[in-house]
Amino acid sequence: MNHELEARLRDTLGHASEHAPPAPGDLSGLVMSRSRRRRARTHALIAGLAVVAVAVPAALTTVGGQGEVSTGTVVNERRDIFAKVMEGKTLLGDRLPVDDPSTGRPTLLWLARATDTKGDTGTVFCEAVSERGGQWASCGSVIDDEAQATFQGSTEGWPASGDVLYFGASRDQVAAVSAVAEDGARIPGKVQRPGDAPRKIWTVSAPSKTEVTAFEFTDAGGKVLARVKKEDDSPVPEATAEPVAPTMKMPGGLVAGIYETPDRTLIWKRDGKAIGVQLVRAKDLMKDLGGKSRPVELVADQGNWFGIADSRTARVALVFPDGRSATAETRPDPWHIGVTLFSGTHERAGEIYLDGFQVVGYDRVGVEIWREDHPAEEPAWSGTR
Amino acid sequence: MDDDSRFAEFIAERADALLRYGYVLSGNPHDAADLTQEALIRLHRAWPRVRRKHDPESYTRMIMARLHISTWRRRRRERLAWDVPERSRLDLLPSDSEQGLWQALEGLPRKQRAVLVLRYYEDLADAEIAEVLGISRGTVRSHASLGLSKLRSAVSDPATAHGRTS
Repeated sequence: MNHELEARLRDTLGHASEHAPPAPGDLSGLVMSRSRRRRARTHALIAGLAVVAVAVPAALTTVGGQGEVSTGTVVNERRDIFAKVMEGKTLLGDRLPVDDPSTGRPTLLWLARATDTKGDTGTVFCEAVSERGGQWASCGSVIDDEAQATFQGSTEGWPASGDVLYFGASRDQVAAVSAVAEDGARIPGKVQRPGDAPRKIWTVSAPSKTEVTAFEFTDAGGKVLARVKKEDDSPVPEATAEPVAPTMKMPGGLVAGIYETPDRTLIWKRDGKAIGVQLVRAKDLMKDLGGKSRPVELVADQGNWFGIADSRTARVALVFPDGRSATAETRPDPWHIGVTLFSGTHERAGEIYLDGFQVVGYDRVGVEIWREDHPAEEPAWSGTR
Repeated sequence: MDDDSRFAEFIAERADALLRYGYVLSGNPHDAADLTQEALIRLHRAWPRVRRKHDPESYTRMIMARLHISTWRRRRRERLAWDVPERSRLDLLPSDSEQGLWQALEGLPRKQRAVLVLRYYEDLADAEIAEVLGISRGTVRSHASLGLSKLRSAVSDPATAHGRTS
């Protein structure tokens, strides 16, 4: 009876599987787009694709005869991502440079004539973005000619802090755009035509805590021409996960906690909102993309800097190019991950990754045991930022 | 070929197979697409590491199985990036017997169903199933035994075949 049931079960599962939904033709593009948004504000180590920031530990060297010091440099592999994504496409009008309102990082928006993944040829909306984990560029599907306006994307991500930039394309008649918040409030944006592009590009910047539900487009007389619903990005499981162990309060108003989503993950929160994530399951812990060990994983967000370090580390220093620095004492992790945790604040404005910095670890007697150099970032595209 | 191209090539070649797996794992096309999408997003995030060290498809199937049995599945329904066609489950299978068994699978707790799918659809050994789901071999055997028992009684008494219990 068991064998008969097992055989029937095999047949049933095999036959049923044939009725699974087919994959859409552009699934890879959809997945990559969502993945990038989701990790947009996470640390470089978690991912990195079109261009990756890879920590490259240098050979161990002896400094001052006081033991081994691990030194490393976070290296940005550079190439012109605009030129790469434009292979086989024609630029329409000019490129529109826009800064990410939260980080000051450059973003490029533009229109191009291209054949999309569905095989349609026409005007597509493209973006190039510089993130902590690297830079990437992509173009979407052919824009519907009949639509007054379309929503094309945003800098929304998880974890998120600060403001979010929303953007898209609109027809000639559109003179103004507003984001419509859940409570009905309107947040005005900008509508610009880059050069002689066949469509305008609209942008709206809104606080990440504001639930934007739609965008409203009006003509020069204030008449509403179109209302476009904002497409929800896929919610991330980590956003609603509960910690699996008691959390720990850290300096600078941060709270660190362990979550299983399902990978074991350390999530840092400020005012209840996640601002940093580190994968801490044993095989990922303190490893770069090549699987090599590194002494520190650092995240910096709006004046807070925090992370995990080699368990021997007693103090961490953040050293800026002008020689000024900030320090933080480490704390043992209560979850027995095998690291120390650190958290501090600094007075620098904007993204410290743009100008570069060094992060240095000291042991209990004050001896430097590791050092990691984060060089200033260089533009990911030539010409206009 | 860069990482993006390799990732796109992997999806082009394996997405349909993953959707079939997601379908027998979850029992419905929306959850199959949801599981596949979420697992592929996670694969993309880990792609440079997975591509170098692991078999990407095994990694994705493991993520799908674990997502399916985790609380994640009960908390959320992903907004899919594409439209999934509706299908009537009643005209799916070639015989009433298989139809009855398929419906009986709906009544199993998620872990029991996952163990049976991994054993009878994926043809994995119990040790491999234990690794995929992150549970002990004893638990695998226990879930398989309980699942088969429930299926046996459900197909012999169709009235008990419905009602998911997880």
